[in-house]
Amino acid sequence: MEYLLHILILIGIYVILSVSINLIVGYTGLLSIAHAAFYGVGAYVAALMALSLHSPFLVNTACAVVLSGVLGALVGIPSLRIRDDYFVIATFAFQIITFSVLNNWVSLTGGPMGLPGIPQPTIFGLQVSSHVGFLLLVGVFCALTLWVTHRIVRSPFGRVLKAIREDEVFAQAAGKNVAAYKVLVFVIGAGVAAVAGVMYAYYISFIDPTSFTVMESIFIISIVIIGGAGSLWGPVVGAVVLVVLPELLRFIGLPNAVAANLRQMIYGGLLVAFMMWRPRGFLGEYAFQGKEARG
Amino acid sequence: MSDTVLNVNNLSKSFDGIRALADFSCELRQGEVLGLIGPNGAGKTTLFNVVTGFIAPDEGGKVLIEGSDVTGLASYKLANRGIARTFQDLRLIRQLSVLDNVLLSFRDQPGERLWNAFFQWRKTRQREAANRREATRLLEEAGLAEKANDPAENLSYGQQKLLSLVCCLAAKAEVLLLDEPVAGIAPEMREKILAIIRDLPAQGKSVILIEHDLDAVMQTCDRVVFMDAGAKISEGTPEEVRSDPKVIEAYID
Amino acid sequence: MIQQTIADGLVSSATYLLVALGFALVYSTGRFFNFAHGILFVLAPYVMLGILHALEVPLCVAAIAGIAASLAAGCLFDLGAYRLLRRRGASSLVMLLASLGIYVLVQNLVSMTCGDSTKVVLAGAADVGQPVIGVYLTLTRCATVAAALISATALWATLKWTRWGRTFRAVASDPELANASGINSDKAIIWSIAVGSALAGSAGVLVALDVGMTPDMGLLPLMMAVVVMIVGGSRSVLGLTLAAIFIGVSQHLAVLLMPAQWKDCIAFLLLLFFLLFRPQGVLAKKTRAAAV
Repeated sequence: MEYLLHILILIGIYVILSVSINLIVGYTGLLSIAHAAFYGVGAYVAALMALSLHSPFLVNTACAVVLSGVLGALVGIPSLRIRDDYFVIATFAFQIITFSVLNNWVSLTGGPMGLPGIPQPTIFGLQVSSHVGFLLLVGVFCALTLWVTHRIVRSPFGRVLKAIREDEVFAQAAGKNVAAYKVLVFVIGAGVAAVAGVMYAYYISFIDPTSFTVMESIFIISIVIIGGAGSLWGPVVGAVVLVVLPELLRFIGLPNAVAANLRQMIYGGLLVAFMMWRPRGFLGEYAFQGKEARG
Repeated sequence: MSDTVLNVNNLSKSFDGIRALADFSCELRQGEVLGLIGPNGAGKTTLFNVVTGFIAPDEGGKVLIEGSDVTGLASYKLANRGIARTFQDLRLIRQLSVLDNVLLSFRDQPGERLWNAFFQWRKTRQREAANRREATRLLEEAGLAEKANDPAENLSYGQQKLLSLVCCLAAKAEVLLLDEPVAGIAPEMREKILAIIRDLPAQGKSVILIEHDLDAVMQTCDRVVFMDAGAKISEGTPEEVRSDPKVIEAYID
Repeated sequence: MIQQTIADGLVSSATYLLVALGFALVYSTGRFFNFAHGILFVLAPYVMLGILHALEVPLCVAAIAGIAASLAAGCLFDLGAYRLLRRRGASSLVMLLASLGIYVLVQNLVSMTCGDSTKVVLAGAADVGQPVIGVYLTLTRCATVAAALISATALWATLKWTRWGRTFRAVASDPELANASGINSDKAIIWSIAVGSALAGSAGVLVALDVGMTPDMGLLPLMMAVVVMIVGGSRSVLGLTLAAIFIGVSQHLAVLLMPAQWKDCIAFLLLLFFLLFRPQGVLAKKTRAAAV
């Protein structure tokens, strides 16, 4: 039963991550392999504040969101000058630089040893300590994320994002400040990803840089791609599939290391398969065609 | 004496040593349909790109809208200043519906600001509803109403060109820059679009029209400018320009 | 002391150049960032290791077999995935993502079959270092630099003077026109991938002989190849060479000034700088602004 709750909590964390990156990738068409960086910054900010300042959970979460949002803006701004594939490379660079900072700035982040002993969150006097408690907390944040995303994509703002995804020139000619939208969408996506990081940090109570690598970014992107970019529920489906499927491997009795490899092979393989036969994933609307930039 | 709504003065633009615009000047008067003609590569689309802010002119050129200098302003800002345009290679958001394309073209939508989408629900919803009604009306007048919820890519080429004109109308722009609005479409749709264009001055709008179809230009334009190699070669009424020896010479070359 | 640092830097540069040459070849013809290129760096040494364990063959033979395996794998990726995607008119983003998937898949395959611990191949005499003008050299490291120089020169000469070179350049500058003129761009692409994969495999083998191998060792050389290509420009062998030298040497020199673990960070900051301000590379002419 505990195990089932653990899986559900993980699914919840990945739903938050995939729905948030979907806003950037699926709705605005900006492929980014930097999401684990936002996830990691969120986790580390909350953990550091909890460990050294002993500040309350909600304050830590707010700070994590803000700082991650700032990093989001830093990643979003180059998207104004750098196009499609080159921009993906730029996000790779941000991801690796962020990991480098988390891994090497030992005095701040503990380096490869990580940050152990993150206390349990206390919200309005209630301490969250059990799996059920964490599941409820993650569930609330998931619901919030889905609601916010739903409002965004159904609004005229969301309509502009979809326009930018296909043809920025059309959007500019229609009077939309495309640059502002792009940066804003990164800020939001990064901020929400930070929430997932905060959840992870408090739940596992120990974080280290290896949870926030390039591979993790690729995993998050795979969730959105397989579930379906540009749809509200696609990322949710993707999160369920990509978290549950590898867990089923445990029941076959494979040794842990092999299971870990197989898990990655599954999503690597699915990524290739979907790109070849169904780039828009299960439920998606966007098939990574890239933007119109004809002369 | 009619006012000038748009002035371009001494515009020059070079790309890698090729002069796309060579000290080009002209004006668009209130309520007129101005035709812009010339051979391929004459600089007509480049002129549109400079006027609408997609390309910055070289030093010294100026673009004025009703007397204000707007040279070098970003394209989206110019689009909010009462200018709307279509593109030679037909830009639409094909994945979205016909109606969505029109809705996108409305300017000043409160719902496009994220703050309003969350904290000013009523204002956002009201304006969106009003825009929807207006968009539907425009589509009905254009004869595209039954396709309103279809993705734009399902329209025929001619219908798509009509749609991009409707998008300009939704913008409530005073100045419309139309880049080959009837090129490559069937006669029936061609007549329909030209009729809409001819009617625009009556609605207080002014139009610059790029076209290769000289009959269309003759029927629709009050004045014509002939361009070649980035420079203005001739200017006047359609008949005057057509019979101008310099124009005839340029076409033979 | 400084000679050692520079020498070390040049060895790194050589590695980066070998990987970058292949990466740039594929980018010029296939027009997408082929991340699977990184895994070819890893495959060759592991195949070499497998052969050495299974058969009694000299090191050279096993090394060449490893490189051949990388070459074959690279071509397999093209025939099995990229070609099909090209036929469908897939965007470069789709191809980038597919190549990413291939990378993840194959890296984990290696990890699963061979484990994650560092494997070392004892190369005997090749590992013995000789101090020369104050610099500690091994045969392997010299071979790396030599391989890079020879490959770069050979590639440059081929591109400039041979028919294949002309075909390649035609496909690189305008694939549609090339196809219309009867040039088979698919063939040009698979040749590029074959050559590139062999180069990446060679680099992997040499690095493995020098410091050992792990399944994830391909990621960093891949990213460095990207940096080299962005800084040096994808169309210029000279540009790539200069960029590789600059990046490799400056990384190692930077270690004299700051803690070693930041050296990769420096390269990526450089990458960002070039992406923002000069994406066509150091030597290329400034390209025409994108018209609308």
